[in-house]
Parts: sequence; C-alpha cells; structure tokens
Amino acid sequence: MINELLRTDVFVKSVAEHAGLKGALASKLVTLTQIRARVGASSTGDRLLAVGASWPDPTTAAQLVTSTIAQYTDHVLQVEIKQSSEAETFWTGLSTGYKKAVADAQAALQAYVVANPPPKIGDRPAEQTLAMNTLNGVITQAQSQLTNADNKIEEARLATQQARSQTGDSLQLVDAPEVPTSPDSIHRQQALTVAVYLFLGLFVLAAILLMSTLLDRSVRAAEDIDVATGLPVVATIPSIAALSRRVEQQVKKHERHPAKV
Amino acid sequence: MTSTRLARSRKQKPETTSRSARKRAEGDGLFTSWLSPSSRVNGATPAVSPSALQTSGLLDQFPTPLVESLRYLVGRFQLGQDVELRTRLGVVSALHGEGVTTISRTLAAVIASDLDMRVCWVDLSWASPRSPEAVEPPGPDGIYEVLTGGIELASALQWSGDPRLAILRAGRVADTQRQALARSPRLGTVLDDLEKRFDCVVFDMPPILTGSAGLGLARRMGSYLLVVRHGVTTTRHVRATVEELRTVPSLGVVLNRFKSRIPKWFAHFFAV
Repeated sequence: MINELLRTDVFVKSVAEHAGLKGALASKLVTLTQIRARVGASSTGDRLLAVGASWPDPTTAAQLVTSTIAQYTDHVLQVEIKQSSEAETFWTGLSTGYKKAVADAQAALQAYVVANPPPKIGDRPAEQTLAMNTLNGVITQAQSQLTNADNKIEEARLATQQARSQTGDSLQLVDAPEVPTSPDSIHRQQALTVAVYLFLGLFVLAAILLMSTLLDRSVRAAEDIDVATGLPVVATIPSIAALSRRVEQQVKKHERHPAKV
Repeated sequence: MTSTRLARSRKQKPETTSRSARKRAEGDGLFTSWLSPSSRVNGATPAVSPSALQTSGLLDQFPTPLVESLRYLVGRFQLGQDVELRTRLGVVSALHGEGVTTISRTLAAVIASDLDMRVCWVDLSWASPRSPEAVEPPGPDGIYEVLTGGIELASALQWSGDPRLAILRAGRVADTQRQALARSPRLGTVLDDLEKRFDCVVFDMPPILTGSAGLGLARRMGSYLLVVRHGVTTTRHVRATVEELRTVPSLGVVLNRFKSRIPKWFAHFFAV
C-alpha cells in the first residue's frame, strides 16, 4: 500500500514536505523521482511493515521514514473517517439552518405577542389563540429538526472518534525510525543486481538455445541422415579446424624440407 | 573451379600463415604437391614397381584423421560389408562447399594405397561457381580437351608420385561450356575408356541440387558417395539429393567437418 502511494506525486510531495525537503524540492535540488527511488516499504510477515529510506544525509533518511509513516497513517485515517466526517459536515450545515429557523420562529411569536397583547379582561380572541398556536407549532417543528441534526452530529463525531481509535489500534509504531550511524552496505544491492542480470542472461541464453535448436534443420548427427534417407553414415570426417591444424603442421614441415615434397 | 584452385595454390606458395594452410586443406594444395612437370607420361602408363606398392608415401600428403576416416570406409569395401566398390565411384554433395573435392581426392589415394588398385581421380566439378573477378590461368589439359578432341585421353592423364594413382583434370573449360560438356555423348566413351584403364575411377562431382549437370553425371556412375557437411547441410537437402539419385546405387554418406557440440573438457571430465 505504501509503495502504491509512493507512486503518486501528492503523497511523495507531502512526505518530502514533512521531511524538510520542501525547499530542496522547490529549488529542484531534489526530485520526486529521487525520493521515490530511495523510499520504500516491505512486508515482514502478515502484520509487520518495514519502511526504509536511503539518503546521503542520515538525518534526512530518518526524517523521510518518519514522514512516510506519518503520512501513511494519516492517509489510512482519512480513508477510515471520511464517511463520518462528511456526515458531520452535512449535519452541521443543516443544524445551522435549523437554529436560524428556530430563532426566526421565536422572533415571529414574540413579535405577534407584542403586536397583540393579551386583553385585560377575559381570554384572547379565538383567532389570536389560533395564530399563536400556529407560531408555537413552527417553533416546535424547527426545534425538533435542530435536535435531530444535533444528534446526528454527535453520532458522526462518535463514529469519527471510533475510527481514529481503531486506526490507532491497527497501525502501531513498533520500532521508531532511528538515524543510521553507518552507511548502508551496497554489497547486497550489488549482489542482487548481479543475480538479477545473471538470471536474465541465463534465461535469454536458454531461449536462444531453444530457438536455435528448434529452427536448426541441419544435419547434426548420423541419426539425422538415417532418419531422413535411410542411408548409413560410412565415415565421419573431423571438423576443418582440427584438420587444418594438422595440415598446417604438415605444410610447415614440407616448407622446411622442400626436397621431400 | 580448377582455375581458382590453381590460383590459390600458386598464391599460397610463399605464404606460411595458418590461413594459407587452411585454404590448402580446403583446396588442392596437397594434391598438386603430388604433381610435377615431369609427372606427365604422355600416354605411357607407368609400371607398378614392387617398391612403390610397399611405400606409404601416397597418403603422407593428407591429414591423418581424414585418411583414417576414409580407411574405415575402404575397410568396409575390403570386407565386403553391405557395400561394393564399383569401378565408377562418384563423390557427390547436395550443395557447394561440402568438401567433395578434398574427400574424393583423399579417397582415391586411400583406395590406391590400401586396396592396391589402379585409381584415377577425375575432376568433373565444372559447375562450381566462380567469382566474376576470377582470372582463368593457363591450366593443364584435362577431360575438356579430351572431349573436344584436342588431345587423347592418355595424354591428358597425369600421374602422382605413385604409379597407382592418376589424375584427370577438368581442363580449360569455360563457364558457358560446362553444362553442355556434362551432356556430351562423347563423355560416355571417355568414361568407358577410363574404366578399362583403371580398377577404380573416383569422380569429383558437381553438386546435385544446384544444377542439372550433377544429376546427369551422377547417373553415369556405378555408385555414389554422398558428402554431407555437418551443421550446414539440411536434412531436407540431403533427402532431396538421395531422392534424385534413387536410381544410382549408394555406398552411404560421409559426414564431413564433424564437430561435437560437447566441449572437449566436458567430454574428457565425464568420459563421454
């Protein structure tokens, strides 16, 4: 997962910025490709993940590892809490509207009461009572919606907190990155490179041999002639190179003693 | 082909490099060393002296592995093992450059030496391609001059240092006349005459698949020996050649320039 994220420019940029390489990146002293090539992760078993970085400066190497771990953890957390966070944002927006609706309804009721004070004798007229009841109903409905939105917000916050907790449980830093005290040995890398190229070379060689054998229709053995024609091989003459060496010796001998020719 | 070979041998005389030696092995450097201007007998067949029969100098000019390989073949002739040596033996190949000339010459010498027979080696490989730049040098008379009536057969024969082995060159035949020469009706008469004079006549034949001359000449042979170059000639060409020569008795196949794919150190270590 980390290696996949390291292929993205956004993630590498955030890693570089948190590792203190923002200036170097801006001035193009360091490129994203260089960082990408020097930072990597490998799994050790099913539950452990090792993150490593190589850099000429050991402190920067440790910072890169720390930054990578932090950015990865943050990335996982953001993925986990994304739904609840969006829900909280949504209900918070609604809650603001509901609060305003409640305030507006209360203000309307207050204004109506001020405009229509209660009579000194007897009850309010029926139409005023109806109007006030209607205004109270609007307040109650707005209050109910506001309460519902506040509850949803609380639920979203709770879910976010649970996700944070779960992420914290699932991703724990076992060994904190340390500043290396000695440069990393390149022998292993060299041996790996040699082994890879050796294997590739052997593979290519085997492929060439296989192809040449399959495509070669020339006579390679007496059995080929026997199969092709049924004629017996009555003599086998050695290769011309071996023949020529002997001839050469004989020619030299004759040149030394021309009278014998 | 003849002119090229002669040109080679003349050029190679002052050279002492291994390259020249290799060319001599492929060409006729060894064979021309048999001949000298005084070896022309002008019709008189030299008598076989007992001392000549006892000498093994006839084969000294040839590489031992080549001689020994062909001796195995000749030994089969001696024992009569499913092969019969006929008077007219054509050494053929499917394509050019398979080593017919070298093997036919050596075989002629081995038969003469080991079977104590009167042998004539005849160069019929007229159809060999030559480069346009090749200059025709004034070579010795050969079968071409005999066929065109220029000289008698006996005059064209040359003798090696050994009275058991004679040589009949191709002669100064032009490229344009080679195909017609192979179909000449007089060629049959000349071959009959050679058959009467010698116990065995070994022919250096042109390739079968590169022209019609080789096939026409091969059908005049009593038997043929097919030379196949290891790792070069394809089984398809070998099969086609044998199919073309199905009416001519075969002595078998000589696998030339054989080189094992197993490295020597490996074979030595594992005693393969």
